[in-house]
Amino acid sequence: MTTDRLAAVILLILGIQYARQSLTYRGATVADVVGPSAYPLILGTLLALLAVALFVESRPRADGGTFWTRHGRPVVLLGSLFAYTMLLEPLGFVATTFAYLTLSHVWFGERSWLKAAGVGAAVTFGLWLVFDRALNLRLPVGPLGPLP
Amino acid sequence: MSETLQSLLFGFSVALEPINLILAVVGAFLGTLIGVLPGIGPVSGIALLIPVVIGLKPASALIMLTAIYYGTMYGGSTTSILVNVPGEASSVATTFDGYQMAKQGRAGPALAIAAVGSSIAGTLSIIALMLFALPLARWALAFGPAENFALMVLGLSSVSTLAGESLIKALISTVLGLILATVGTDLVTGVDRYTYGIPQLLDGIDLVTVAVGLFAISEVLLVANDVTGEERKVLKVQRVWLSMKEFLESWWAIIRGTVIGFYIGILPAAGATIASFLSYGVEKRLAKDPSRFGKGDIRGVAAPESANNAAAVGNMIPMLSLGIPGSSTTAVMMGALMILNVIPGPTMFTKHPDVVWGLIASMYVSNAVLLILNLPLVGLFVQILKTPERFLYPLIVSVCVIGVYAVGRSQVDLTLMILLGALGYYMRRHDYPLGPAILGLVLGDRMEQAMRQALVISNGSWTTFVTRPISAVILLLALVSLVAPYTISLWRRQPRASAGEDV
Repeated sequence: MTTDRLAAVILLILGIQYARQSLTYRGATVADVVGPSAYPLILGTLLALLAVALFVESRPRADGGTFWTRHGRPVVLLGSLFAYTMLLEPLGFVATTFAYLTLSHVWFGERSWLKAAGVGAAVTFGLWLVFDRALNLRLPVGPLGPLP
Repeated sequence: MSETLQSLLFGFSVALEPINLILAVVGAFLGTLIGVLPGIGPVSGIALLIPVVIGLKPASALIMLTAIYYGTMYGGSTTSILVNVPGEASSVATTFDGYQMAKQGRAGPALAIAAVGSSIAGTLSIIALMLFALPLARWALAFGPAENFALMVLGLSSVSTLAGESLIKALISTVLGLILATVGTDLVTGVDRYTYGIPQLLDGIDLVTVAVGLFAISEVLLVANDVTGEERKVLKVQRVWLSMKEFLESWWAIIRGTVIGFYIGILPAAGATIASFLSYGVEKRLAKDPSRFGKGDIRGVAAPESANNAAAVGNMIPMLSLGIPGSSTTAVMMGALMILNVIPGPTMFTKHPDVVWGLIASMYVSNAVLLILNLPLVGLFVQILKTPERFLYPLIVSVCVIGVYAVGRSQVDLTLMILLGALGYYMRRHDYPLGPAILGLVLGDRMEQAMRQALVISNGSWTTFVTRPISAVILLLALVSLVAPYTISLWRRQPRASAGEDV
């Protein structure tokens, strides 16, 4: 099965499920004759129909390589991004961002750990200066406490 | 006419307030930076700055966002000329002759004509915008919810038609955007829809989260496969200057590019990209010596650069006067306005004249600022272009994380951003256009409200959309825009068989 056909099947299920769930929303009022379910019902039906059309339209086509050779690095990046955002609040902005930047500099091809960490520290400080100090967006401080 | 002039003067009094002037300069600079850097394009760039502008007055916020929008276009042409990497689709046509010129050591004139051409095109189109937008808005004031619903259908369908290779995939992208917009509490009845017990979803999914996830994160995921440790080859710039001869040679290319760009820009969806290719093609066809195109002809830079700037201005017309954005970038700008409680559309001219006219005046200001700011700063941007990707992409990821977190201070938004990033990555790899999804997300709420109000007025009769004449015509246009590409391709396949019937 090609990727497009697999996507079509998933979209079909999604569309049907979305439309079915819309039917559970009730609460028509005087100021609203169709209620909260009509519009999502239309959207879900549309999605399901489009999914069928996608299935019909798609032609079998071989994708080169296995899943990992094609999507390996993006998946690793997604994982690291997930870890970074999960630890952002508990460990604070400074620690997580420094660690994330240093590690990904190396992962993206920097050979010297020292340089990766140096750039990581400088960029972290710069971001903190711009977002926390200048723009006052109050980044999470973490257990080490706020920077002065 | 004098009324327009008066409004414009009022607009300048808004745009030239010191704070707004500073915001325009900062925005123009940031925008150029965004345009020069790979990874963050105009859509995610503007989205990331929404949390920053949220404390400002709506007029100031829109002025800054417009300056950013303008800046990204300038930045995009810089990379097209110096690295042969277009910052966005609308500057692809600039690479044809711009990069060739730079290779021949004529990067200076190429950058200069791009800036001058854009500036002239921008200024002329703003005059046209003033003449078009107000009458169109006056006309649209008479529209009821049925007409507005039809207009949004037309906006979405025409965007889908022109967005990608497969109409079905473009429509799927549109519907996914509309579906994302339904998450959260229903404004009419207070029913929670598709929130699955997650309190952060009650207010709906934030535009910033979607724009950054779909556009910026997916871009980083896409390049993760082929980032090299090497530095990019950036061609040298000697002096950014233009001789009178070069300017006169490009003059008609600039004027034609402006006219083409402006008219293409007004049409929903047919934005800067189509305009730039079209004007490049027109210049090549009109030239006495078309063989010079593609080998470093200055007209090949002047035409697409003027056209994409004029189109960017033309794009503002449907957004300002009808409340229907014509491109993903204007969609994000409109989303920002809605966050600031300004409802775009015909009523904006009367309810928020400072926003509309301040914006129009600030487009003149941004043009001037960019011309003064960018030419001397080309050296700086070249340095930024040389930043190795291994340092650049992690930085972009961090900026996205901070920007999305800043909106709601919630980890849920970040997880959503990552999921949408994965979705955007899949969509890009498999030729689903992303623009329609953003447009769907921005228009979704208003579209549903318009549909329901229209049905209240008609006592629940669905035929109201086709029995009201204006609504019917607009919906017919939407249908034509969807079916036309198919009919044209069928007709081309059998030209003789159908030629007789067509008459």
